[in-house]
Amino acid sequence: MEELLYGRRLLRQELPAEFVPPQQVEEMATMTIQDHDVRCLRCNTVTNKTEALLPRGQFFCPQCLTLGRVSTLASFYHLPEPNQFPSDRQPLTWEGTLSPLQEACAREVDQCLAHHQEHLLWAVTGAGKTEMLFRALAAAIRRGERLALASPRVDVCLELYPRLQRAFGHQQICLLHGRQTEPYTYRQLTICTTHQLLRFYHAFDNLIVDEVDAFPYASNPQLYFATQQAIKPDGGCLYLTATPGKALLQRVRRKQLTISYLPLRYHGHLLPEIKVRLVPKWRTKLGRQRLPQSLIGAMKKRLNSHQRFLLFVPHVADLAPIQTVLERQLGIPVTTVHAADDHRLAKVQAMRDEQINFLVTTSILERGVTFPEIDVLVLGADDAVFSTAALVQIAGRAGRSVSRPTGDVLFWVGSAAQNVTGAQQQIKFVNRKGRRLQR
Amino acid sequence: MKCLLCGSGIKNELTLKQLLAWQPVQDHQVCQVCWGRFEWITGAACRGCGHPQTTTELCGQCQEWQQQTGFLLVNRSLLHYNEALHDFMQQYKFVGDYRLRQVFAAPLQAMIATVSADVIVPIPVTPATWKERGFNQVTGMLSHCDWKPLIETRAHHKQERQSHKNRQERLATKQPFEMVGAALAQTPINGKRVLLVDDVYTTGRTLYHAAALCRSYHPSQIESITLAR
Repeated sequence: MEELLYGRRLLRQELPAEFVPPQQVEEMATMTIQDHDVRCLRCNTVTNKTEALLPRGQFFCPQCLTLGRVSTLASFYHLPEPNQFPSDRQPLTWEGTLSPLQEACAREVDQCLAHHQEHLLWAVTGAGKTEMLFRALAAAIRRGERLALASPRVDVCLELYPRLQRAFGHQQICLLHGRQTEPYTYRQLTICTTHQLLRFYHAFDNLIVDEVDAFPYASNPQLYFATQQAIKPDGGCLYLTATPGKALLQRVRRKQLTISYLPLRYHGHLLPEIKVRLVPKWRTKLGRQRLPQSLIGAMKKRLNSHQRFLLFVPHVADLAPIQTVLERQLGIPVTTVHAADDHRLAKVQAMRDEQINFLVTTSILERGVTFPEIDVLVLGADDAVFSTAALVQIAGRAGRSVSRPTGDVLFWVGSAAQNVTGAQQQIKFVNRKGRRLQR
Repeated sequence: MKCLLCGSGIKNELTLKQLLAWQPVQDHQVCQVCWGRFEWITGAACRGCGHPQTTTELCGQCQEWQQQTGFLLVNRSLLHYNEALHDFMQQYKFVGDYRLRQVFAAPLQAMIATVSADVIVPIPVTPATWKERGFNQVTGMLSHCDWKPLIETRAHHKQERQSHKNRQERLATKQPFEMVGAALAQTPINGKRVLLVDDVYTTGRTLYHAAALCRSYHPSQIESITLAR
């Protein structure tokens, strides 16, 4: 049972009741107490003493309660990571091939992991990132390193797990996320949500963070801290993203982080660029049961030519009024879907099976889903709910298949906005790089 | 300001009444949606245990207690123990989010103020709980009350949580409490009106034990208030 603690830092309550901590276990303090506030040593959050106070002079951390309460009443148990894994000379059972571009990138990734670098891989949406990792992961497994693949989104983890399990047939992979019921197992390769990293301490020789730009990782210093803690002091970290945020790019400019690009999709085509239509006060019009004529026109045109598409809107509350107006103006039934929709999976499946020609949705379909040969329309792209990263991801839904590698991306905005221009610039930037490679 | 239960943002906007009243303003700790999930006991309830029902007659449980102990404990509760309150107690007691003590502190203390009592006695938690949880969930909610720690759990009492037991097991629980001699010497309760306070009234076992213990010191009256029933 000792292996439960290898490279991890756990509270007593997180361990099984019958677990007896071994002799050599390291007991570590959970919090540091300062004059006016306390710092949680698991999530690094500083909380005012009045909020964190327990009776009798004790304190707790209100920030990371969901993982089990950290308080001054408890201590962490930890055992250093011993890298006790059965040797595996031929871990990779995947037999696919990489495109020449992917090949170059895969070599670079391999080098990064071999040298335990901190590296950013900027690969456009639909570039085939996961396959590019296989060779590097296989080499690291042969070296006996402990590895993890983390993502802020649980659906990304759930999608990665079967793909990696297939690619590494002899390896048993540990999957960790907040909603699971299977217990933790000590494995060479772990796939987990970034929140789960808070339970690790100096565990991984190499850590790969997928979709670093996604909510909640991007704006959460807790999770950044967790990443740093989970890696061994001499370990490496690879960030993967299609839409790096300002903070990451700034670290690149300061030469704190190396970067490589994969600006072309696996089929070798550029990203579709965003076209913007200005429709001032569309919300007021929606209140009067009307939608911009250009939007209706664009939808009619696509419906007549049987071109399938997605229409994104900013808020769940916008879905119902837009649905009513569309049903009246187009004269056909309209399907909407949002995160809390009970029929969410069925509706998305219906779109996949081509039973319906379009979906009206919020940003839930922003990443991780592929419908072949679609166009993308966004109403109110200037709304604050769409970050630059989200807009690039949304635009990246178009033109993902070899059969139709291009597609239209149309944004309707109420006014000019930073997030929209930012997204346009990012796409233009990678396309400039891509064009150079195409030649 | 964020809702203590669901984490969504709360806007604390002043109403005209609050402005004109010129009184300290209590900020909302919980959002409207979460607050709306709690059921307040306002209508008719059992005149014994305070369980919400259509009449004020004694419920079956209270009749059993009366037969068994020859005494009826009058209990009043603030809220019905529904799913929302179950989740609340889970977060407050078992996850240990001590900030949640503020959620019902004001209405609970207002309820206590309506009862005329001389000595307010909260139900204690075991030393093991103090070591692990680090607080007593009852006294946490009584920050502005003048309560007296008259009872404590007996040292050799077998410690298993009431919430882990079924009804039969709960009812079979032996007297877990004893009087604190020093505190009793300071605040004698003979001839006084005693008010017991607990978090949840489920079978009544805990409160009847505490009441039986107090009754051997001859108070003039003994009642109880709990957060939930």
